[in-house]
Amino acid sequence: MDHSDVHGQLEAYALGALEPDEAEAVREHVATCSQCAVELASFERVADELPSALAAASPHRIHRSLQRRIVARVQGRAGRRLLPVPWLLPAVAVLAIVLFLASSLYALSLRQQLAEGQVLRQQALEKVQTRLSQPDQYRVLEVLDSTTTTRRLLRSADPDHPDAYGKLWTRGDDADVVVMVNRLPQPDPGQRYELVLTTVDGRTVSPGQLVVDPDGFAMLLFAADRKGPAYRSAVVSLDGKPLVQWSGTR
Amino acid sequence: MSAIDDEGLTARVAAGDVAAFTQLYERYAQRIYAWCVHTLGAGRAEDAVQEIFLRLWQAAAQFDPARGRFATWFFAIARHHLTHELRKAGVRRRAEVAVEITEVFAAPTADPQEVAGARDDATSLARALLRLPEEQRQVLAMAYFGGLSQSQIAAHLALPLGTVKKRVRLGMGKLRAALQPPDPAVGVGEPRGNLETTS
Repeated sequence: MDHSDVHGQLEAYALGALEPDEAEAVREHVATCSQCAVELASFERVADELPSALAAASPHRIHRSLQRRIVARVQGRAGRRLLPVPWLLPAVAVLAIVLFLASSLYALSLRQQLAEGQVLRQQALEKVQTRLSQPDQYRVLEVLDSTTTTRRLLRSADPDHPDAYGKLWTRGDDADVVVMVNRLPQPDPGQRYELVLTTVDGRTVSPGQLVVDPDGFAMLLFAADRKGPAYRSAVVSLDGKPLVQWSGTR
Repeated sequence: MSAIDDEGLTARVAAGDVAAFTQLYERYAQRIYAWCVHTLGAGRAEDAVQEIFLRLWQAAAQFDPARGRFATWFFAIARHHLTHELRKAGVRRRAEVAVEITEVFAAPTADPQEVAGARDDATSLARALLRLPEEQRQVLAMAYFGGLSQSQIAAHLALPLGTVKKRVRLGMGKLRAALQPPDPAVGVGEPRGNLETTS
């Protein structure tokens, strides 16, 4: 997408009305085009005012008691966060030691996994923070961190690139899906990476193009057509040639 | 003493400041509530408001003011929550919700200026929405409040995708013009932007 294409999509982007691949292209262009960044900010300001305009036109008024209930719940959580009761201090100290030991073991395990090249998360978080908008960062982190999340490992399917790998995250209680792939070869001009998923009921879904950065990394965030989507295979291919894949039999 | 801006309050919330959270609640609760009640209905609105503000409390440390305004970030949380709830009901229901919201904009039952806490920009935008052609107001509401993509809107309305895109561009352009400060070169009483243009 060139400058004029993106320029004509900024209004829809601010409204969240683009398809995932279109939104990704806009994000990438806006990161390097100050003119479009300024233009987009002006449309985001319009979008930000839409809930305010709705409140201004609506006859519905919030009940004061709701504030008390919500603030009370937050105070309860804040109280637990601050732990002000003195007799809890020894327990906190013990807990801290346990947590320290657990985190040390976890860090060791994580380092081992990273050394094996099987964990994208650490590297991916940096990419997420630099490449995605705040709202999409939030969506990605929600998918990665949910207790209902299922992760699938995509292994290399190309003997010429045995180090290529990826992950597919789905949530049991949401439609958002995240795919990250790493160590991909750079595509030649005109070539494109594409993700194809097969659902458990046999439908083939193609949520969009993957844009590979200079590090060989690519990610895609999209909303499936249902909450808790279930797949039986995922393939990332370059012009039809599979690079990494997962199937439910592995 | 000058009021702390939203971004400053969010930093305090991230540090566990309940008073700062309360201030943000007072600034945004009416807007979130109206959005929830028109999206989910009065029976589920309060639970949704509570869920959205608890997410603000939990996620405040993730907000980065260098990457955008608090309102953009917080409304994205609200929109994500509400469209997630709406998805359960399918595209048809999402479009119906958007149509109902379009009708609120078209025939406001409250005078925007009389609503407690209504800000100048919100009033300007509500009036600009009132003056938009129906078809532009509809696609903007379907996109933002219904969480529908332009392609889904085109399919639902049985319109060419290009027509939907044009309506989105025209509508957003007019709303943006309504939020811009008056141009001194324009005579008093002259409209800013052509609100009567249709697709």
